[in-house]
Amino acid sequence: MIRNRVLTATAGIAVVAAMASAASAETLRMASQGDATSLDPHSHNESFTNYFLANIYEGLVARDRNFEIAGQLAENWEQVDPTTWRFDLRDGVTFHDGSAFASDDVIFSINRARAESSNFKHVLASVESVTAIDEMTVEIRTTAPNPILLNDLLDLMILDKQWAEANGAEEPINLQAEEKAYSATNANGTGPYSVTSRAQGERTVLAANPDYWGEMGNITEVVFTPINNASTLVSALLSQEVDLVMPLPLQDIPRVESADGVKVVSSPEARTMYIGMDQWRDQIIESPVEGNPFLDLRVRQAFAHAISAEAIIDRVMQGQATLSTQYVMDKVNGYNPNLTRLPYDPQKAKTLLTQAGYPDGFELTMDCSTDRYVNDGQICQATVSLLAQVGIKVNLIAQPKAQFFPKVVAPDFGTSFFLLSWTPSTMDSLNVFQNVLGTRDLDNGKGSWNISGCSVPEADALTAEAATTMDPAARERLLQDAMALMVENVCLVPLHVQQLVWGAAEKVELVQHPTFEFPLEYYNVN
Amino acid sequence: MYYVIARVLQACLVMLCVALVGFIVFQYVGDPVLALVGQETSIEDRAALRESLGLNDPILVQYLRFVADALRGDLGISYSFNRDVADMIAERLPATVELVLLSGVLGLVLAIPAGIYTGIHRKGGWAQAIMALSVIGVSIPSFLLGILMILVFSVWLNWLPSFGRGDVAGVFGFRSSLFTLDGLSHALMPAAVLCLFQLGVILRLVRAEMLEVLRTDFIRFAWARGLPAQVVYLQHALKNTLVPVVTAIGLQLSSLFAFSIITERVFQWPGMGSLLLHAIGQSDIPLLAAYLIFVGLVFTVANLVVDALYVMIDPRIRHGKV
Repeated sequence: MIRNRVLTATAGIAVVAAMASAASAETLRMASQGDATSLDPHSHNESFTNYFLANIYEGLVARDRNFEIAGQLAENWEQVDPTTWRFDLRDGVTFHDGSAFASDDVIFSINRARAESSNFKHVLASVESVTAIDEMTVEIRTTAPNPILLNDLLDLMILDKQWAEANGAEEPINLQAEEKAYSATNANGTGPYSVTSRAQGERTVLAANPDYWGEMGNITEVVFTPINNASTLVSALLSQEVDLVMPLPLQDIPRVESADGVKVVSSPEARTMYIGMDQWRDQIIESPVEGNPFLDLRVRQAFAHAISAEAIIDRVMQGQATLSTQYVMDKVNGYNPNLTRLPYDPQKAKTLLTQAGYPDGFELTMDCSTDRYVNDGQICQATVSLLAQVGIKVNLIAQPKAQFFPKVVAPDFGTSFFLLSWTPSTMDSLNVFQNVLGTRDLDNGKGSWNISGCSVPEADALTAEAATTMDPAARERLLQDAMALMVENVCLVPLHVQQLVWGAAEKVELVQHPTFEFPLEYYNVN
Repeated sequence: MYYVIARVLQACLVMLCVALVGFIVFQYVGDPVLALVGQETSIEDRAALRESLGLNDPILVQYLRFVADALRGDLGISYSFNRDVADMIAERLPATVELVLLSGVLGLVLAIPAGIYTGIHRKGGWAQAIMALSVIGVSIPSFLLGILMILVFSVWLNWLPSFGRGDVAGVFGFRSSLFTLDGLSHALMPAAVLCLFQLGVILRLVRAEMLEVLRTDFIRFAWARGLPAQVVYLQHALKNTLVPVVTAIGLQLSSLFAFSIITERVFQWPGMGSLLLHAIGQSDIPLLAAYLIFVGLVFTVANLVVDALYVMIDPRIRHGKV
């Protein structure tokens, strides 16, 4: 490896004369707590897998360095009419195996992602058809006007049709198949990096794509290792065996900050943490109280006043979080800058509880995961003691995510008080309204994550209108108004936006996106 | 012959029971469908997937289906990796086997001589020191020791790599990291951590047995016959301590497989243990079932081998006199 590097570097010197900015060959050794579950970009719609594969495969559009949506395999696009989008494809792009990229690959990939067995079909639910106008132009028709079609296409990766067909990978996932899926362990994309070797859960080596159409940093090789144990992950960084670790446990931040040659890199993540309260049952579950106190707005306000998000950020999150005033973070479309959070005020909370008929508080059960979000178990413990101060006795069920999620999600929604969070994958609050905040309408696939069962019909009307409003400013206003209504009704108690906290060697220059993406083409090793 | 057949049948029964218990427990490991689908997947799609995976069938039906498939050599497809479970186990097995073997050998090479030494020189300073160290070996949890060793040897001293398996080379078709210097440097810390517990146990057992045997009459007679010390200690005494020691080693070796889960996790050793932890996190039932079957197999085979060794070591068992 070292010899290789010397050779390339020597070659580099020769070129320097001709090219002012010749990049030297560098290896980035990165480690993360998980591995991509598959190399097939349509099999698991799971954020780490999607973003890992986004370095190997590409979509029609993608986030650029500044997190704006920009053309990737599509060079530009136009809207022919409210339901028809025409994309001009980029010329001269080849897949890693050398075959040319063209419109049949786009059509094949979109249809593959819409297949019955795909986990992306709901993301593309608005797509009615994809057709080729010519070799380098495709047209996407939607069932109704879809102002955020580009957002929906962000995670949709394009495969080579011939390669997929030749290897029996026409379908993204098939658990009943006798043969293992070729595309789960092999990749052929158009992205800046190609897969050199892959041992799942052990080590994946990526090499820079020499024929990449776009600009990229100076990293020519990426060695990725999953390290599940948090303390081993930190040790590997401190002993300089890896150059980048994600995520860095909060308690290790001082250790990394005080060590030489390494740094902590953090920025807000698009994940909003919140506490949910049952607003749909007549009788809350796992509680001795009669009826459902949460149906009274004053009780929900009292909880918001009693739970000090500031204290949780300060103590539990060690400052690595920002206060939430609403149910999305500020980089998401529809964020309403005029909203404020009900302040921490235990006295006010007690008064409100008394007015609602609970002068001595009441007892209930809280469900909480312990291994899903940053310090989730401790957030719940802090909530329990904060609520105790206003007379609410909480029995905490802290459980691993494997037990937590089956209990609280559809169809049972088996909880009346819980901690949860949401990242809108489209970075658009419509996604939050459709899944988490909007009135539950399971038959039409709406509100399946609205575990608290809150319902504000006026907000539903506003979001329904926003869903088909093509004018961005008008649409933004509708979403902001809907968010204001939800917050006014204390649909959920917003807590905080957690930070993405990574550890890196001093020499690594990187870009962090709120969605956890790590576009390696923008990374450099100095 | 009859004896061996009976034992093999017994072993099969044990494995069937292990799998049955496994399937009962799987009902509580979480919902594999939730681990499989994206957050926005609709409820109907989740229900359809659950139905198509056969997760709605009674436990007994799921269990029998698994056994029938396993008998045909088909362990199923991992839910979370979408790959053949047998392939994945075959991929991970060498890493675990080499770790277990290295730590097993390391443990025996250190434990038996140390046990003999402390048995003979019961009051000596060295013997006391070895005994004190062995207490630490038995009592420190292995994950803590692993983290400590990483801190000392990787972060502070920078001598040994903190994670992973390192380079692998093939000898006689068996690919292992034990054949390369880089691989060995990766394996040293995890193997040391893994062997420490069994080292303590076997050392103490050998010592106790030695003390016991050295008190018996036939040793006194051996001394009286004027035999040299090493013959008395190694030929007469040691041989008679071996039956319980071999049992312990056999059980320890198979429990190394179980202990390796923690060690593999701490050192990110890409073996079966890390695979099991992933499978638990993802409620990956086919992978869990295959792992259980496999560990059941290791334990039963180890027991069979131990039983066979008894007969070789102690002729009285062969002649049915004990």
